Amino acid sequence: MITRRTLLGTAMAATATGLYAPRVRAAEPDTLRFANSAGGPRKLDPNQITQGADSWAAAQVFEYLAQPADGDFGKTPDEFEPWLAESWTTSDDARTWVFTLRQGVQFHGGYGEMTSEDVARSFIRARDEGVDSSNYENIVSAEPSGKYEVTVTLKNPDPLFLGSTVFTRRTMIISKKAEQELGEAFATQAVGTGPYELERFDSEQGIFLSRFEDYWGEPANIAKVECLYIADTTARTLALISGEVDMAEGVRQPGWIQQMQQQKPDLQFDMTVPGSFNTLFFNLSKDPLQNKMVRQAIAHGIDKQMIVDALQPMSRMVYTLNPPNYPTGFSEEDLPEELRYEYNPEKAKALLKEAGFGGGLTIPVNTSKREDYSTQHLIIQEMLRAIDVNIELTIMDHSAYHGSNRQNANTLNINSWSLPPVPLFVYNVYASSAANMNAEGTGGGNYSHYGVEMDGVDPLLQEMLQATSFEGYIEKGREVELKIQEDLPMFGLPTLSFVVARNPRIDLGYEVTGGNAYWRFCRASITTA
Amino acid sequence: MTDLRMEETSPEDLAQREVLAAEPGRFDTVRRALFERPSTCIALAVVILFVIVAIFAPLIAPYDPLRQSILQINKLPSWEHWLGTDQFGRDVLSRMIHGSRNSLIFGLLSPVFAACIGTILGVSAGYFGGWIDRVISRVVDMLMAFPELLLAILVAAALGGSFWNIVVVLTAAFTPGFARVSRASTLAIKQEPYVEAAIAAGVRTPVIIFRHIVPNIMAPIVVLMALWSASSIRIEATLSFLGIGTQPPNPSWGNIIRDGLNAMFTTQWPIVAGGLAITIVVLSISIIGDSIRDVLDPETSQ
Repeated sequence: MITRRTLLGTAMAATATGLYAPRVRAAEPDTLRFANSAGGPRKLDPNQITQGADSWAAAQVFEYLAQPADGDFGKTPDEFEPWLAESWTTSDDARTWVFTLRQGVQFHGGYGEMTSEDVARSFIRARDEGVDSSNYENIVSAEPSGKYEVTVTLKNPDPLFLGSTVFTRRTMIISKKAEQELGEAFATQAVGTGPYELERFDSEQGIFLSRFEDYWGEPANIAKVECLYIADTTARTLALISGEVDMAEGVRQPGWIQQMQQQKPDLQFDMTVPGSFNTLFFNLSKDPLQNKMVRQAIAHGIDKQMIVDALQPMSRMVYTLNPPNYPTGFSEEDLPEELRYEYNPEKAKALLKEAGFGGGLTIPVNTSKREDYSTQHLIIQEMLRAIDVNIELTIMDHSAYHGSNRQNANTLNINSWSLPPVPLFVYNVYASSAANMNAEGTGGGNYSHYGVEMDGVDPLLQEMLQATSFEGYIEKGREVELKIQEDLPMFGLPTLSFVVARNPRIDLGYEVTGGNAYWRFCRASITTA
Repeated sequence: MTDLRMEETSPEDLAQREVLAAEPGRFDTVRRALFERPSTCIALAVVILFVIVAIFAPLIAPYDPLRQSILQINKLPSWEHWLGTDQFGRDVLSRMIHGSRNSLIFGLLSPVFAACIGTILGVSAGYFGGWIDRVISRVVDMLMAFPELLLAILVAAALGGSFWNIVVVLTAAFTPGFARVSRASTLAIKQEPYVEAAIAAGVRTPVIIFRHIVPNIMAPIVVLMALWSASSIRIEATLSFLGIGTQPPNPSWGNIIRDGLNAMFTTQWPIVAGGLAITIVVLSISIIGDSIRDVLDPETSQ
């Protein structure tokens, strides 16, 4: 029966499809179409990718030396499986790592067999060039010690080297020969060893891949993969519902999953848990956020449980910077009561009054147009209105938002990042003074200026770096976590799963439970035509 | 005798008599413009209704338009929420009512500002002529080369979408039109004998401009204001829809539609309500503008 709602919904969907989706095509039998939320592809070279969406294609084209089973991060060293490396050994001080490579692995496009030269080059370029190079400063050298053996030497011990360095985008293995031959074109034509090879890089539409027939392992099930870019949320949603794409990046805003289920009940949702850390940074260089009581008041004014409820089923509670199921995360009971910052508007108001802001306070804040950011900022804005903190929100384009954060133009910015369970990595990118964001835009992700505007955790991080056992490293990490919670330069907001909605005709071949905000398609298959 | 006198009247005398015949008063013109056609009466009633709603929004709206209720996300219309709720559980009807303020303020403010500035520029150019005319006319030509929506998007994207930025942008976009119309009218009026007489009698320039010229060029300016009020509401809605107009959480009809789009499979009411409000108000103002033009235009008013 056609109800008024169905009629209206269909009419609007038809109109919007006409407006936004000029390329309506029927599902092709042996192609997987994935739509992500960016405007267009920028890079394919895993060491140059700055836009998360490009990682989807890179994850199909490139591989790691070792990786955890598909569908999650490796939380401990024993969860990593040999991949392009057959085996590895580590010295007692966790400073020397020797990898024995798999033989007979071919690069795409006739660039020959992978050798230790390619692997050594992949590690060195992560340290010396490209994005995030500061995360790889611990690498002293990566040298071939045989045609199929590479020795990596580290400055400081790293018992979690596989998680912190090997299983990261920047150290995916590339062809040294192709890099030299292609020069600048390598950024978009990069050559790897993965189950899919690059067919076409179209800066407007997306990245088109086809099955690599000389793949060393089990070949991919589906012949072609198209990584499409549909930035407009409505258009992407409609493309998924109409069957134009098989998988689409979800929209992390209240009610989206529920309405999709209502519209297309057989749709599948793959979600990472915990997914993205959402960290609220107090910019300590801006008035009056230097005042700890103001920061505490804001923390007490935010009802985190309400954010979790609003963003069900994607959101999970956190009590400190790291989520509770991460090695250095805390559960509520583990925390001293004064560091729990429970929702308490009265206490928040009292703290503000004590800080000299009894009459209220106005803070200008920039946020991104992307739904997960704007939703959280809008919810927080409304909560803080109750404690007389007026957030003047400016909603801007996603790139402009990150630009404003990096130029020290924001006050209470949120950063969303699917961080691995490698504590040092999290602290290195958010809390160490080396990652201090500076107005020139060359700094890291320490948007609070923690360790610069006030004493931070640098000495504790140094101690953490010296730990040679996993247990010792975690113990020190928990001290860092508590110190951050006490100083409150940043505040952990509930995590948000990265969500991909999937047409039931696609079987992914494994279950996604956690991990990066991108995953592999080589085990996927098409169950119905 | 009477017949003889009629025969003696020359055609020049007749023409003179017609000119001296009493013109309809201003009140009469307004009455004719607004109350003669039923469609205009309805349009006027609609606009007045929306203005009343906008003025008394806080008293009429059943809820705080910003208050979120996480348990009431994307609800369909009910007795509690006549137009349902949005993705933050905010009452859509209350947002529509408060949104009418933003939409109408933009609709009126920019054309009024533009009319003031544009008229000053146009009258100056037309009355003084010479280099003043050349400079003003070239700047106006240049500004007119930009479509107003494009100009608005450019400035809003560059400066951000604050209330005053948008007002300034729309004012800048509409000013050239007013300048051009008032310049042309001024040129025509300046040739009138009463203006020449005033000049000859030594009346001061400001007095001539404000007493003799401005009142006589008001008719086309008023028509333009009415027509561009409609455009202004439309452009504000477009900018808010694109996210560069009225900034959330403050409601405007444009951003209510934008928000509604993301939840359109659950509740279509925000889109329908926002779209209807914009359509009805824009249509009503356009009808009123057309009627005023018809009455003031000598060719169509007969």
